[in-house]
Amino acid sequence: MVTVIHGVDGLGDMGYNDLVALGTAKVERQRSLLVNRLTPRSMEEADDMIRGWLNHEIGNAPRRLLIVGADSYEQLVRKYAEQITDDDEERVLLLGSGNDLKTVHTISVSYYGACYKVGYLSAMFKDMLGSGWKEKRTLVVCANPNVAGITEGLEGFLEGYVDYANEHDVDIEYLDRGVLGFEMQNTVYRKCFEWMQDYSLVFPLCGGSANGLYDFCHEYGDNAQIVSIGIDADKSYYGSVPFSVVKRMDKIVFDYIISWYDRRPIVSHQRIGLAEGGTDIVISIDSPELSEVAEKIQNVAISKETNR
Amino acid sequence: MRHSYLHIILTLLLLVSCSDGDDHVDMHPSGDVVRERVAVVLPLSNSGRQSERMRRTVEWVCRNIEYAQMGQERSVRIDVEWHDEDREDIHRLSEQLAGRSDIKVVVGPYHIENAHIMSGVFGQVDDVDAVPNKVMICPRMSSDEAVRQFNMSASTAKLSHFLWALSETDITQCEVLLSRAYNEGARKVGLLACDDMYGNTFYNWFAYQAVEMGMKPVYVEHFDDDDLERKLPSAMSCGADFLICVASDTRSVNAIIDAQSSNSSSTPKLLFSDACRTDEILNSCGNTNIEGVSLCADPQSGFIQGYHAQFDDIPTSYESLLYDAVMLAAYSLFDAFCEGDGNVSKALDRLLASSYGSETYVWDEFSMHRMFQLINQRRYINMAGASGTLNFDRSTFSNVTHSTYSHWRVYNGKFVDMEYVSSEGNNRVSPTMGSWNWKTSELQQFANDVSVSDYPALHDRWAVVVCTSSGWFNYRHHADALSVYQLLKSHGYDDEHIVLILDDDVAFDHRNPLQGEVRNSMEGENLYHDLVIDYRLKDLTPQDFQRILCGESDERLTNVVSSDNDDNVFVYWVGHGLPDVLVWGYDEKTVTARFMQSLQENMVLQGKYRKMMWLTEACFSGSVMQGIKGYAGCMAMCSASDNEQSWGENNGIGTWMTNRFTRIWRETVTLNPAISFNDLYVHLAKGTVGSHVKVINENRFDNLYKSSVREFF
Repeated sequence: MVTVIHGVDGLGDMGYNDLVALGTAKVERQRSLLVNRLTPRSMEEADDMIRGWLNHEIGNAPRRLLIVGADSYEQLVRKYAEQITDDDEERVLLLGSGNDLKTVHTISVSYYGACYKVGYLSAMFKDMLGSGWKEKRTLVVCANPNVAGITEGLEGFLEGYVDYANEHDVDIEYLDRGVLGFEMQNTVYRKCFEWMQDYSLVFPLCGGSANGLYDFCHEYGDNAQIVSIGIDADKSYYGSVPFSVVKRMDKIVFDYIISWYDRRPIVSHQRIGLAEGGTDIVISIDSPELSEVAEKIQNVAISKETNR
Repeated sequence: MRHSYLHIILTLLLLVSCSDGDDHVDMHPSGDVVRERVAVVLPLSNSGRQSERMRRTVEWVCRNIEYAQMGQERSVRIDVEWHDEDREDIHRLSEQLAGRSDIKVVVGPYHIENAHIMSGVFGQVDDVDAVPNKVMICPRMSSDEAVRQFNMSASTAKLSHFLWALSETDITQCEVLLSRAYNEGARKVGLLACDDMYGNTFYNWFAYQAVEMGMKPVYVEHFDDDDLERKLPSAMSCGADFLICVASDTRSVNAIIDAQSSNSSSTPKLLFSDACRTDEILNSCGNTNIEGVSLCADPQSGFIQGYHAQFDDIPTSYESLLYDAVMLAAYSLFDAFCEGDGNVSKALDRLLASSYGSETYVWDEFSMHRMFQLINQRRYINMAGASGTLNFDRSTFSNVTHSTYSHWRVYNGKFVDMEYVSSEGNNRVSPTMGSWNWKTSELQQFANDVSVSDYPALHDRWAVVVCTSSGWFNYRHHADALSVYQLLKSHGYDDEHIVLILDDDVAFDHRNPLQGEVRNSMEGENLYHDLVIDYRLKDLTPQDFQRILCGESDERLTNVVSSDNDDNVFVYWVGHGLPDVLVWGYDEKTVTARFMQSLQENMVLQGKYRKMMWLTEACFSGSVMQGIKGYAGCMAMCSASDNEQSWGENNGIGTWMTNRFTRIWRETVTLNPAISFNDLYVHLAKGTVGSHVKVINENRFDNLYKSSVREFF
């Protein structure tokens, strides 16, 4: 039996959490495994759920897997580390953590390579923008400064940007210092009114909060004067999104569960990125000219990600 | 909270059976199995994919129901009896199904007109002994006309609680469409709606809602097959920023799209309603980037991903609702079986009335397994389905009180969901415009660390209720003043402690169809009884009002507020307002912010209150009540901010019968007299569509999160 604890209020984000859910749903469909989906409304509830699972009060079965679906739960998982054994019959997987937690399996998804490509293409795309747009600066909106994946993505973006433009005109704004930064869709929408004054290109490294940016850009159209970059899933349907960086969380989760189910050996910490197909970028059908460039810098991006 | 949550988890997920331990459960039910036939009435002869989608969704949920009960000591097996509502005579089918004792649950029909006909037939069943316990679970009965007619006839129907509709009415969908238009910059809007029961809801509500949202409805038209072509040119040149299109067939949708694209002048943007989200329309409109809204699954339920994994596709409108309908059929049949009386109507009542614990999704195989176990143990929880919350209007039970809508567009030959919208909103679902605008720009945030000097112990409570207008067309002001007066009395105020100022000229007005009565709605209680009116408005000046509040009695002003500095004083003011002034009768000059300042200062200097609460229902009231700012212990809640109108409601007798702000205040305080001021404000702010509720001087009053209305009621 597989139990999944999604991020706090995570489902419905049209991105990371929904992809995790899709991965488990595919397993459920293809292998007839029972999947127990838990959607906590707070960290406290998530804490109860993890403890409940460890005490065999939730998701009890002779062979069971707990997927803790967000790196924001790492502290909770660490709290119960002593109760967790790395056992094929009873396994805990923490998604998003870059740390080796010994008894807990972890998968970190490296955004560095994909964000490098996005940074490179962003600088190039901005160069192609018309007067009144290209003079404005570029903004990276980060969910918070304490998540390694965010920091890594930011660094990749800046390096790609500079590799194209030789310098950068990028400002960085953090939404929060905690998990709220991933669910501040309304705040982001409000902030867009300010951002549109100074920025013509916005890269939202903030999970579901980015939906506020997409809504704003869709609603205000050209008046918004903001080009946004898709995050976590292809967002090109919003119209002003020329390319998106995607995490293939459905594939990552699916592959892991199948390996566990088939009792294949799994290393306790995996780092999955561009080379492994865990991340990539998707170019909008409206910007086909970028595809060739994206292809050209693929190996550079993989190399930079691997050698970090 | 923490403890209770764990308790719920234990209740729901821990459960008892050792059989939980298997990933693959026994594929054959064991123990008692009851087979139940469920009639599923859908448009099955549709040549496109719609019927295929409906069939596969029903088959999927039936499979999950079967798997979820494997190994249980008791189980229910659903045998689906398909009926094609496009081919069968719906009247005859309804009568047939109503009379059959082997059919306890009907799922469908899909078409609103057919659902309306069937509910009518079910409602007329005479011989309830012969066909008891019948329920009809409609994924889609969203016409306000159908629901209203059903509710009117429900009181006389012999079958009780037989209709359960899983969507809100299209009044909400109309609001969602208008919200989308507004958010995309529309200030002028038009409507082109098909002339049938589906289109009527939009036609009836569109203009009203548009005005309420601050938009100008410049075009509102019905169309039928014969006159659509003729009406399209005027629709496309009506000057609207957005044209809401309510069409349910491919031909009409194509005609509208063609008319827009062929019109060279500036045409409105198009926004389509839910009936347009079909595979047929997608195929026919090609890559035209049309946009619209439709009912959808609750995005937090995980249904969309489950469906995607199942069919490598995304669900269209109503599939989550159809899934829930069959799921509820199974739960109610199983519950009736376990209860031993076979009464599915009562079973659904039991299942859906439970508010025990946190809301829990019970649609997927795993949670269904748990749900069947709970039902078997006669335990009920607060459940949600694929489409979300399954709370029903407790007065009629006919429709759910909450639906989620998707704002979609066609992109690259596919429907894509861009945003989820509901009237409530949450972290993943945007609220509709009325509250959305508030949340983005206007919602007041109150400090949680307000420190005020200690108040003395509360000794006594006083109230002044003043209606500053008169005449038949100000009926709502009178009615609201009386409703507050009656509410005060029900909370222990006697007439010695209430000063009521009212011209009292509407109850016996010759235009009043309810002679001698005053009500807030046609169905509401009569408020015109046991009154002690202290003054007629026409006999008082604003200066008199000030003297009454300051306790300055004389021969003329015999009834005044004799409060002290350990008494609370509540003032309800209802009437008209103009920018920077509240109107007193015909006096449009005196009651300004400066007047209020002087009044408040006098009361402070004379030690006339411990805490003082103003509730002001008038246009532009926020501008005048600014006058109390800075004075300790007082606060004002105003129906409108500085430059806004306040709005009337319930036009049942040819004039408005209440004001929205006061109605919501009254309902909220009646329901929860201990509600915190902050929560009260949130209720008022969310409900008072059309104006922005304003709270003034809260920092000198108290911590609004911790203090409650209880101090005055």
